[in-house]
Amino acid sequence: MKLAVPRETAPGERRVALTPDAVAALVKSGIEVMVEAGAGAGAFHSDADFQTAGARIVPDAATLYGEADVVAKVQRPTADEVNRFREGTVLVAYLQALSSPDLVQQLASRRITSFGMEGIPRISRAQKMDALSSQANIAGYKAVLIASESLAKFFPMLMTAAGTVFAARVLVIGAGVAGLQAIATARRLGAQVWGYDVRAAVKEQVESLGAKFLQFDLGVADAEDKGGYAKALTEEQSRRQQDMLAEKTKEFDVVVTTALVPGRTAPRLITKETVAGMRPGSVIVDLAAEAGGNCELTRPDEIVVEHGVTIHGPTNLPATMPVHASQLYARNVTELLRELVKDGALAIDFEDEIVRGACVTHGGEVVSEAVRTALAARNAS
Amino acid sequence: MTSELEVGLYIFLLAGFLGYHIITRVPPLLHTPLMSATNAIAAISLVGSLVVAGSDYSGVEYGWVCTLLGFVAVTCSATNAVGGFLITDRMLKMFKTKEQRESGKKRPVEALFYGGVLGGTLLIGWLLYRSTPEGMTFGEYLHRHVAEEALRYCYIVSAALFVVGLKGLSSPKHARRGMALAALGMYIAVVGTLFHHHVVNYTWITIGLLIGAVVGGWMGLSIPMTAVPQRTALSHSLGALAACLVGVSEYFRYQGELSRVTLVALDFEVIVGGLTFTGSLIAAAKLQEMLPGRPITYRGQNLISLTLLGVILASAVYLVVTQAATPFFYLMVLLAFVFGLLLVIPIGAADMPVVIALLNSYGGLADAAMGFVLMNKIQIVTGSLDGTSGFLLSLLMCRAMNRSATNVLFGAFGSVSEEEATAAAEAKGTVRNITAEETAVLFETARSVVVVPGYGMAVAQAQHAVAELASILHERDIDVKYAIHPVAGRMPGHMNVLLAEANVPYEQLHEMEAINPYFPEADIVLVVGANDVTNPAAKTNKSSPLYGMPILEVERAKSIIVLKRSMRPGFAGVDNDLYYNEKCMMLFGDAKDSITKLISEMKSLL
Repeated sequence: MKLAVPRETAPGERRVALTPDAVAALVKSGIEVMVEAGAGAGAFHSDADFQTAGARIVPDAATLYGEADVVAKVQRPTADEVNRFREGTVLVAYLQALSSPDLVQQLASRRITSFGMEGIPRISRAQKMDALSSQANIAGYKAVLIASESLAKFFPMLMTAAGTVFAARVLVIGAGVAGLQAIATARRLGAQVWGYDVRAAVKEQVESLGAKFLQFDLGVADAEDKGGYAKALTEEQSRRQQDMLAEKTKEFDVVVTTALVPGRTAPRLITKETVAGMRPGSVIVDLAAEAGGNCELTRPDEIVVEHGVTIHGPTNLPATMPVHASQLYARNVTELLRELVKDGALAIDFEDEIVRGACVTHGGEVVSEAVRTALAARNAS
Repeated sequence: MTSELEVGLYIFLLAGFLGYHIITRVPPLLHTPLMSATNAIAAISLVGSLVVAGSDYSGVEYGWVCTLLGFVAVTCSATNAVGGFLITDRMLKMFKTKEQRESGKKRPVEALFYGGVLGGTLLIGWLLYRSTPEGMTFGEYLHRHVAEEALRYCYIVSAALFVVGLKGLSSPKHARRGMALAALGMYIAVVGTLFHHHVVNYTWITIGLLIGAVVGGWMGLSIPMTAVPQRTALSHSLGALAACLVGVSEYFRYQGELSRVTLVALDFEVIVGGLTFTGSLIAAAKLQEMLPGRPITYRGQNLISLTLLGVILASAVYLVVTQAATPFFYLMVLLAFVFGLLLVIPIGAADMPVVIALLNSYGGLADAAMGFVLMNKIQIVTGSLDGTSGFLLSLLMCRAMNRSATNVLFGAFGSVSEEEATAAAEAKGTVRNITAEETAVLFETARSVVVVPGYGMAVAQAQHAVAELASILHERDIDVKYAIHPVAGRMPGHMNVLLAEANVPYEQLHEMEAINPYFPEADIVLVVGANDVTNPAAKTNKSSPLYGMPILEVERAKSIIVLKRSMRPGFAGVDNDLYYNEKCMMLFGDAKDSITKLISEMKSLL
């Protein structure tokens, strides 16, 4: 079985799907690994490192895809790349299948067996493959660092001869993995930190990191679905949430938003008016920028300054820390591959819970229930 | 006389109060040594026995009966005293801290001290005996040299030593020294009693003491630790027999012509002494499996027991009223023996520790009654201490078993439903609880500890407490490692964030793959609010939702202590098989509270 690791082509992407360490482990288990020349450069892994680990360096993507049985990528492939895959190739990547219907249809028609890292179910056994968590962890950390850099203030409290500096007040909205890491990082930098989430169960988790939980009554029992993700709120509820949150948001120096609902545009939590009400010099880091943003003024991958408030909309923070991001992603991919490969040959058990969750297309069909529904909805409209 | 009775009653009350307060501070860990210790102290009946055995009965008809009864009582009590203190000491030796074990040189020093005291007394005794002038008994010679007051001061000193000795049992650290003091107190009381003005004849006393010392010494040194409960029971029965015999002897001597107050005390002494004697024998036999351990019941049991008790009480009242010698007294003693049998036979062997504690209490009360009969204050004090401590101990033990005292004592009549409940619980195995005190003692003996933190630590914000515990262990040269499961907590790196906040050095943190091979070497694994990541079902049970997830193999450690709020399942919603492992003990409660308590217990141990 030949496993191919291409060079990422998306702009700004510096990660690589497998690191030399991961390659060495896979080679040891009997898999033949090919790496496109320069694939690891962004993450500071030279071709020589990959060679030492047992991989074969392939000069260009065309050759690579021409031979590959399995392709491991970070970003979803472009239409062009998909056309270069051999029919029946197995693809493992961060597909974002729910929001990329064209790609899914193309993968199906090319009879690619594709696995989306975002579809790994949240069960105990699959936690080591959970790339969403491993990368969100990085995003949460980096979001706070960006905020601290552009905040015109200290994070910690300091009592000095020249007077007292009060600690920055940080609000993290959405206490998923990224949110929790943002809370932890902001706390470590010395800020006063509050967390907020529509899921009541998360209060305990926010407090377990030593932060406070911002609470107000939305009239919902619990907005958590059985996979642990947030459910979409009704219009009435979301309006009330916005009102109360807007009122509270004005009191903070830094707001990090991470609220995402899978397969939908991100909920609007911070309006223009709220931003106008915030203290000048405050910072918003919107981690939902790619899905439309939690803040009305967010523009993906741009820095917007309105009413003296700086709004960041980074879409790919993990790529800014390519060494560790690649290391963690490579581990996730390796563990998934171990599920798909037995004794150096592909052996996919389509009944397995993990495979069922992550597999998007196979044998010319869209096999994922969730993606099929999303496609049908789009075709109807 | 009346005023002396009043004083006696005050002493009885105050000593009881003191006993209550001292015993409430004794950790459950030391309950078994405590029972053995109070049992040894209850051998103060020796003092009364000595007086009875050594008295001059030349004016009494059949006086030899009194001497004989006294002699038996002395033998029994002496066995009790020697055996009781020796076995308590053996038990307490097991609680030694590491430092004490390392400085093992202490032993000869102790032996030298005790030997010195004993040898010195014997030498002085021998010199006094040799210098007895012709025509004068040894007793008369002694009484001329030593005033009666000296004896009273001896008793005060030994009473104080008993109290301090029992107080020592509130921590394993002081327990042995405490018992040594109590033994010294007993020694002073006994030696002092030899100067009692009633004691003139030393022949039987000496023989009784020697037999008692040999038998008791043999019992104390050779009985295996596992047989301690039955030995304690046997020893109770000897102590109670002594009390009973002393009472009978006194009654026989004065042929019932005693004051009503004394008669009340005497009745109480012989009844309680008698029933404790046979009851303890049955308890010992059940524990030794000479009798079947299950509850033995028959029809009309309650009726027979109550009738018997009625007859006993009626006889007692009759005796007090008539103030004369009647055969009813002997009938009463006989029935008390029978009643003791009936009382304990229906109780199952599993509940015997409670019964023994209760019999201990009865024995103490019989002792106190003997004290009132002979107007001997040390016996009142000790009996009262013993009576309350035994009673309290039995209540505490009932509470530890989560049953009421009535249920334990009379439970045999309706035990069916309970058996069913137990059977249901046993299907999965039992969960063992442990207290913070016991955990602290376990840590004392450990060399390496692995801490497994989980989400529970985060919720309780216990990271600082954990770090403090680790630094205390570190000070005592106990190696501490943290085992971090990759998915511990609710966020990647959750444990790192918290432990870093508590300044736990990075090099003490170990990843799962690195620490798993180390678990068999760990003496103790302390699981702080982690659950699913330690569940062995992930390796063995294919139907478990956790199956296939790599876990921390804590079950391979020598012992496991789990800090947990309740038996509630973790994130994955499954029961953790680890908790039913026989090496695993649960310390229930908020993680932070439990560790804080553990820390203060550890500090009090050193």
